[in-house]
Amino acid sequence: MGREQDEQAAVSPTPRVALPGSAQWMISSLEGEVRTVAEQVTAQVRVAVPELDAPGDGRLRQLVFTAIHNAMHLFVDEALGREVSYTPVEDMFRKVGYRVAVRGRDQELVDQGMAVAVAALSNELGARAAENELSAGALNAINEAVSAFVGHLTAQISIGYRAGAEARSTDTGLARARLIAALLTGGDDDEVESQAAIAGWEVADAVTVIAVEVEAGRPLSPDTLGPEALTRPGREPQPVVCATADAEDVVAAIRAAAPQTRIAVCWPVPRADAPVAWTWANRALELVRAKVIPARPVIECVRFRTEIWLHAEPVLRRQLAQELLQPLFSETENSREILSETLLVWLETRDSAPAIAARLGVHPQTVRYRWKRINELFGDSLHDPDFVIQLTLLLKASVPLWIAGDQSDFQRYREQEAG
Amino acid sequence: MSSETVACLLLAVLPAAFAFGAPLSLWFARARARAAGVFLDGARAIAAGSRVDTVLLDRWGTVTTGQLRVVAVDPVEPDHERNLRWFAGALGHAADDPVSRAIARLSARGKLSQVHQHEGRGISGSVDRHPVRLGRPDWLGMESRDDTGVTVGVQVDSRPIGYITVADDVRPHAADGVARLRSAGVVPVLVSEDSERNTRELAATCGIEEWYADRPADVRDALVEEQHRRGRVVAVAGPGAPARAELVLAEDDTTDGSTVQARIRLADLDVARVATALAVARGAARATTRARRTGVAVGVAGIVLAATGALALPLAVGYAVLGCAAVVAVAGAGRPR
Repeated sequence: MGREQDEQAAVSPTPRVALPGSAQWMISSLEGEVRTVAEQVTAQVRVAVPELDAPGDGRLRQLVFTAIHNAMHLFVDEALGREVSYTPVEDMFRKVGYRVAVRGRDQELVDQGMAVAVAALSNELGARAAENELSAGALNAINEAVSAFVGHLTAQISIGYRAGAEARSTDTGLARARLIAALLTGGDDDEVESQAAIAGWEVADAVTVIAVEVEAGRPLSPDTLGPEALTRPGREPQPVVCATADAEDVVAAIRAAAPQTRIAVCWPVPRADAPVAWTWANRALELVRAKVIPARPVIECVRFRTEIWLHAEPVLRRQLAQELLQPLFSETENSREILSETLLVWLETRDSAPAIAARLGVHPQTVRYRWKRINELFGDSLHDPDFVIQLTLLLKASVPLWIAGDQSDFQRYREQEAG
Repeated sequence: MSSETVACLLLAVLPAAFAFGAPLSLWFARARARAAGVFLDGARAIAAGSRVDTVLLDRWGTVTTGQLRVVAVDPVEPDHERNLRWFAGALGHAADDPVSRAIARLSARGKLSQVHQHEGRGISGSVDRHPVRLGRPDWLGMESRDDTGVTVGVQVDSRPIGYITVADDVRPHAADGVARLRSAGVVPVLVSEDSERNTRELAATCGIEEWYADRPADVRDALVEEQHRRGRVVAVAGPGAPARAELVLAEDDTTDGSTVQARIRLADLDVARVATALAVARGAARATTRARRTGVAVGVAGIVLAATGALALPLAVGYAVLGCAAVVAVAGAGRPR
């Protein structure tokens, strides 16, 4: 079928499959074997057009079979006079065209595949007609209906192909922006691969996500980072994603472009985990601002995984603190700080008083005194293993915040008490 | 009278002149006293010491070691005893008053910060970042105590953790020293700036019958005057130098230039050493008298022998030598009783 005919079919109304009774009867005999026939047809298409069976493009491979199978179902249902909707099948054939186009392949491939499929299907129908001694007129009616149906679907492929080709020819910067957005929001593989193909960015199995603490109104230009880095100016912090193999060069490029800017470099993650890596890198920057992580120009997140983990749920930490640390909150600020610090060291090390004292830089008797006070405050709870684990995690998360000057836990406690 | 007779007469009186002219007793007394930690600087001290019949003993250093010592550590809870010792002792290192020094001996030094002295009330500071206060119980809002000595309250983290009582560190042989004074005819009188009750108990412990309480150092002259009015010759053992005392027994020999009274310097103010000093002075005085009498007797006998011609010149020389030797022997025999 020529291109012009395709375009005409695309804009023409959806064809209605109307068959004489004997043809309907024969089609009905096919109903239970649609999947088997679809598999056979797909197998012939894959053999005839190997490009549609590329092992590296599993989605296209699956899409071809699904499109053939669903199209056959639609044809049979409509031939048997059932209520049907063309939209899902049309979308599927447009996707096939789009995928082939954005990968820079020729539409002839799809046309070739369609021709193989139609031929295989016609052979199958012919054989069935002979078996069922179908009249020539009825067989002719079936063939005409198939031709109209295939013509309509081929037109959908053309529409999809044109859209893909158009996307491919548009600005790659836009595609790169869409790609990083898809990566950081967990967009589906189809979207990621399509945008990556348009952007000319090779999708790596492991990626490194970087959060750049840019000054307001002074974003990093994508040009300064090189083609291997994806970035999205205008967001604060500004995200940068690159293949892990390129991470070192990209970090160096960021440092060269903005030496005063702090960046948080997440550890390498599979591509699918890029959204959480972005969350972790952001949290690392937040923890630097909260003085939990030391302020350095380049924050290697891998060195602060514990802190990032402990502060993953700030609201939960806050609620647990209000619940479990109440005895400490009723102490003075100074007492609260030194008792919690001592308790945390004990929970972490379970050392003797002299060892803890050496670690804290105080006299051993001071540690014994603090331990007596801690026992007075928490009582038998300290013998409950679950409580001890919760307390350890909670203090590990909270004490650095308190030392950094965060008094919100105590203010909240006082407000609750006053209320 | 021949020149030989004149020479013999002069040789005969030589022992008497030697006994009066040479301070032999002082030399011997100094040598003996130095070994006992008593330093006699002049004949005036010996003369004054021999006349003294009353000695005012300053509380610090005479019957006590000059320091206080902790006599009770009383925590509000038994578990707090070590905490009490540690925090109070660590803060005690920050002050230099006798009470703080005594408490400081309870523990090693710690990390101190924000130390403040509160005049007449106590001391506050941070030990290993814990706020600690040490002082009068009423200042800390604690119940007052009525123990002998000085009782201070201790507060950590704004919570009372106990009391510490300090009292005079009485010398182990203070009572013996006092008894030696009394047996030598010297009346010991205790003088203290401490309370009447504490002074009375200290005096009783040492066997002293007369004492003055609540008397700071600057009123010691008035006490000496009071003893003078009772006809006593007074020595003062202790720091400072009351101008009106006949004799001062002190650890150092510093004077302000205006003092004219006799002084005896002591290695320390231990009441036993005070008794030794007075005994040495008295013994030296007695030895001086005996030596002079011996010199006069030998001289008179020599004159008689020379006048009667019984003492030829060679014999006169030998007589003079023997006479001087006798004077030296008598002067050196003066030992304190």
